Amino acid sequence: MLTAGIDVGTRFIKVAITDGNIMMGSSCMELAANFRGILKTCFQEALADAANFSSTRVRKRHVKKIIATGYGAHLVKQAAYTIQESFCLARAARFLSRDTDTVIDSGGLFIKVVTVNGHGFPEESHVNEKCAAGSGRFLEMISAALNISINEVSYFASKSTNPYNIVNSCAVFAESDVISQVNAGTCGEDIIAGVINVITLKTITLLEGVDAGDTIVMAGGLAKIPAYIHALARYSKKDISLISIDPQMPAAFGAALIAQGKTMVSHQRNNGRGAKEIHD
Amino acid sequence: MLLAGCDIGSLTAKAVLLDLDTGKIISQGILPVRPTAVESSFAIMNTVLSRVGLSPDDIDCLCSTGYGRLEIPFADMHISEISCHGRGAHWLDMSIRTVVDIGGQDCKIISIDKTGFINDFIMNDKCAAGTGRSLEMLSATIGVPLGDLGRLSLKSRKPVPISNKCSIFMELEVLDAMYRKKKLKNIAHGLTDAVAKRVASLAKAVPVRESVCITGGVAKNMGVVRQLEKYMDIHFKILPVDSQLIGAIGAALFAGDTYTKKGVPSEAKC
Repeated sequence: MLTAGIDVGTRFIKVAITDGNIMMGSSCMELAANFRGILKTCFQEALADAANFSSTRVRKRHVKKIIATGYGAHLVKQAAYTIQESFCLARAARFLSRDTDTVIDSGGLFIKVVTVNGHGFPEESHVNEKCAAGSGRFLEMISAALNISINEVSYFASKSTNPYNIVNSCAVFAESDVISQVNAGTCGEDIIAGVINVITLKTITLLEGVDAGDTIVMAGGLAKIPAYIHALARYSKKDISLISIDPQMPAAFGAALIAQGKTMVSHQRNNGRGAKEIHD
Repeated sequence: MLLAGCDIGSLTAKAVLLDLDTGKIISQGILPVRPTAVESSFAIMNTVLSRVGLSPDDIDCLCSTGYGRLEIPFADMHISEISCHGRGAHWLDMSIRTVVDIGGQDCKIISIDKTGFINDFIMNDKCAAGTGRSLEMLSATIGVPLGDLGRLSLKSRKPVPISNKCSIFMELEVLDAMYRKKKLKNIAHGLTDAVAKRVASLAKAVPVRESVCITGGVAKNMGVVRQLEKYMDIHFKILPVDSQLIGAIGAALFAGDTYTKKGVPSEAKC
């Protein structure tokens, strides 16, 4: 059976098409004012990707069930139902690596720390609710002000010898703060390294709020920045690994897995419990 | 006696020339800031002086204020913008006891006594919530020029609810409202409402006594002013000059005090 998971994040929309346990196709697009159009294009792209993978034609009607998740899940009218992101993350992370204790999802605006139990269900979930200081958006704004592309952030941050200590971490003020720092002679590498530190510390604060365990996997767009993962591992003194699929996809993949209807750790026979928690 | 006040803020530079003998403002100017405070100060002083055909040597005393006040090379003295806003508002209207100043990057509620000096103040400069910067960013998100936002929001009776405090999270709620095809005027109303709510919650920390005036760039946004009057349960007194200039006027008045008391020789060079 083909199922789809749609994860509407704060910055990107992600679609994963799954058959059984296999992710057949996926697609990720940046959100803009034309939400419906982007959702449609993104879905089409994922279908095309799936068709490529299976070398058969995959149509929209072949997809039997769609589950939406993420911040903007309520916007997806096609979805059978919506599920909280932490359920999807926990399911995908546990499915991809059996011994996962905690998932960190660092996305556009929210950093989410979810601990996973033995059945692939979330136990605790912490998120930065009040303020976007130290989020992906913060990094995005500063790197834009410095004229550094997001892909080069890690390279520049690693060159820094003396990271700039960012006092005012309000993401809105970041841009003008950076301009005045550049004018004052601070070099871009040091500012970027300072930003990575702010984001890392914010994540550590969230991580300290949960019983994180030993095996931590990283997901979300920020996981594509190696300097961030290294800093996180260094400060938390824990073993942090990258999730084994595209870091932006786990929530969408998890939603598609849940749409398959069976619990992935099926030998543990927790079907009844799973259904109850999902509908909650 | 010609006095000058130069207010270098976070987003705009303001200056006034004040003739203390007649008590009149003879020239005024507002410019967006340049990359450095020094450049901004030269640009704004050139503008106001050339407007009335005076030279920098004609200024008897110049006082600087605002974020960039310490960097201005030709200033005779500098005073914090909090004192200047209190002083300026009091000079324009003697009955003022509270000044709400919503600037580009901060927001302050200043309580002054009957002589125009400060009793108490509260300030938010850590977070963009409830500042002009936040309004600027959010109006760009909905694609409405900042100048039209207030007028647009006044047309609406049903604000889109915006519950977040952080401006970036507010942007998210605004985008969400846009995806759901809400009316632009209702979103604009929601935005101004959210900014006003934030300022009003800050104002709870100081005693707000009548009369109250509002200064700074955001005072020009009638939508925010309307909502703020509602939440603080007051009516703002209208000051006779541009709301962005109050700080610079206060600075010029302080310059006058110093000049008359100590007879500071003019070192103003522009």
